[in-house]
Amino acid sequence: MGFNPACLGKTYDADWQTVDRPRHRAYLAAVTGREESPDPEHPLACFASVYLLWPIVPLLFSDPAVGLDLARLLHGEQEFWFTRPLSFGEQLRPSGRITRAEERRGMVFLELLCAGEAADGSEVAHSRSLFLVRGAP
Amino acid sequence: MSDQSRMIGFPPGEGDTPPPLAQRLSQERIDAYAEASGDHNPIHLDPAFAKAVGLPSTIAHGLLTLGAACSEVELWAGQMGWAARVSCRFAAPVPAGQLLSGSPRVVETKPELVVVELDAVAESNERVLSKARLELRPL
Repeated sequence: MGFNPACLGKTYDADWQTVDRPRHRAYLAAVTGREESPDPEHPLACFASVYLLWPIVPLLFSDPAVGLDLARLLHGEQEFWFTRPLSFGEQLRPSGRITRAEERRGMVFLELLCAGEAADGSEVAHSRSLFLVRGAP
Repeated sequence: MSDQSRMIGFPPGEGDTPPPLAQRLSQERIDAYAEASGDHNPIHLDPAFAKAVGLPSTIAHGLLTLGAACSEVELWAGQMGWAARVSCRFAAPVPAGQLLSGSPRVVETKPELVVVELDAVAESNERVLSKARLELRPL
């Protein structure tokens, strides 16, 4: 089954995620290439890829109602933003929504907005991802 | 990281700039990122699969490329600032093993906001990350 532009507006929800310091250390080692890095007081912004974006993305990628060809998928753009610095140990509940779904000249454009809701109900972390699916050669 | 590569005050003064980016995205680091993030897409991990779908080799996760570029700026900000927003466009995939380099620039300085921009190029001289932008706010 091919890409389905009617997936526009579809939403996804994930379980509560902990902004986990040990996992942040493993992330930091991977992105810096150093085993020993400073242990920052707050998580790095792009660590949101772990606790906010990645709990949602597999739901999108495996959704037969969307029909993405993962073998030809590329990440085109990414943005994260926050209303305050997050703290290690706090929990967020991620949700996602498809805000763009179109096919032009054989290329699929799919935009996913994610939000992380804190325990007090406020949305404190956000993500915007643009995924592209290349046409078959 | 030495104290000399840390932001001295917020906002930073002239000459107080983030360190240059110079990171080799080895397959080992790509594997480590897959473990840390949970993204086990075989285009990042399996050379035969990557070639079968038309890529020259396995490629780094876009979010590893972005994380590598942004982490040095955020660690430079250290105890002084936090990244309230980061954004980028992935201009081209980064094949495993490529050296990523770039020079972050402080392009805006206000008492409550510092903006850093960065383009990253691979060893092949291809731009792989364009318009990476970090908005730092004081802690």
